[in-house]
Amino acid sequence: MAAALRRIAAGGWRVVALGAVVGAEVTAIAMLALISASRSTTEFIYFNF
Amino acid sequence: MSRTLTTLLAAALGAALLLMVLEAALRLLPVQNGLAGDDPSPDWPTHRLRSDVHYTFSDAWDLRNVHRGVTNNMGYVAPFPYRPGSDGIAVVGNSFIEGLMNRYEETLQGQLARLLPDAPAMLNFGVSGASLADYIGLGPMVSRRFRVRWAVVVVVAGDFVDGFTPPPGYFGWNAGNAPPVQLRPQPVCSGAASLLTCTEKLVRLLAIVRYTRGNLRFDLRHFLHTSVKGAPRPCVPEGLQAGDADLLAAYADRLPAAYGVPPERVILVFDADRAELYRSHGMSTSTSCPTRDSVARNALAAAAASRGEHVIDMGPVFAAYFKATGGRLDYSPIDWHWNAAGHRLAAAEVARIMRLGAPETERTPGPP
Repeated sequence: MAAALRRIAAGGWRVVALGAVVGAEVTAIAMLALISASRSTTEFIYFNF
Repeated sequence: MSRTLTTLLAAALGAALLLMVLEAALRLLPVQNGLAGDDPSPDWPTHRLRSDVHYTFSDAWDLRNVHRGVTNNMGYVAPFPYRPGSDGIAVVGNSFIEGLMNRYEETLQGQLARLLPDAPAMLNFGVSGASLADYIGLGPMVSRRFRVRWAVVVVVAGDFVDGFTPPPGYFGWNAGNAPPVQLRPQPVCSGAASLLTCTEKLVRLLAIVRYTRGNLRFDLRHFLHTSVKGAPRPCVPEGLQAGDADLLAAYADRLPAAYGVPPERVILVFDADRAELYRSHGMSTSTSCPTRDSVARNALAAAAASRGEHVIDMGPVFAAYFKATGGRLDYSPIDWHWNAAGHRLAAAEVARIMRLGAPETERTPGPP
């Protein structure tokens, strides 16, 4: 794993890999924020959409 | 390609890959599924679920309280079809009566059928998001299609004020009509329908969308509301506004006729303030801070009773149960809908009135 990461860091895919990780992290944080917010939601709302 | 554009495209790819992984994982889990609204039809233009669908219900982020069930030929949650022209007892309400969070046999209508085995079919017309306006607006549609013997209407918090802001496919208040409601048309994805309408139908196929909206209860309006909410505000007692009293009087007047039954065949079941019940250790079930909605519901109860309709206040019943057993009547604090105990107590009260009510509760021959 470490060797693979070193290869990516040294190669031309560095920007792509970094961008993809950031994108995934932002999505994960947004999802966790939604989950966190939902834990304080106790109103009678849900959807048949 | 510039470095910035490459980074942005890579970020989008990373986000998409993670969403695909989440989608795959959620498809293996019991996230809400099958709970989609059907298109309106000319003879049934209000919101209902898609018919003959096996659905999955679960609640909250951790998918608790999983229940599976079916919708029937009319798109309501019932394990049997509704036959046009047949006798029936209409049970009307919102998500409390729709009852996705309980097994059908545990719901008010399911338990009524067990308590009154000789009664006509219990026709559940509960839909999530309905309000008082829907309960009366449905009446003429139901009574045109079925021979209604009793109308049971379950009234809960928010039912009056929610009628002023109906979503598409639901009835809202209109004092100029008789009964005093008007349907807000529901857009259909056909012909010149908006892109949004059709897109919604497609995205609800995604498990991640169903999880976010159904389980996490994410709603942009609600999200914005809670994000600016600060500390609890002090109580400012409210009352009825201009026109409310007339609206409620007209409601009580028109409700029996809407279902084609006499006033003594209407049973209004009023939920109690269960949060107050638990806070006060069973000593009180009345709202500590009156709101326009709570005052309106009390006024409706008084108006209905004065016209000969049956009114059940679940407050004392729930309080007695809570004091005796310490058990809750709902799934609070995550979900305040009635649990099996809440439905059982309500069904017992309704059945008691129906047994006193009349031999006509017994099944009469249906159409050929």
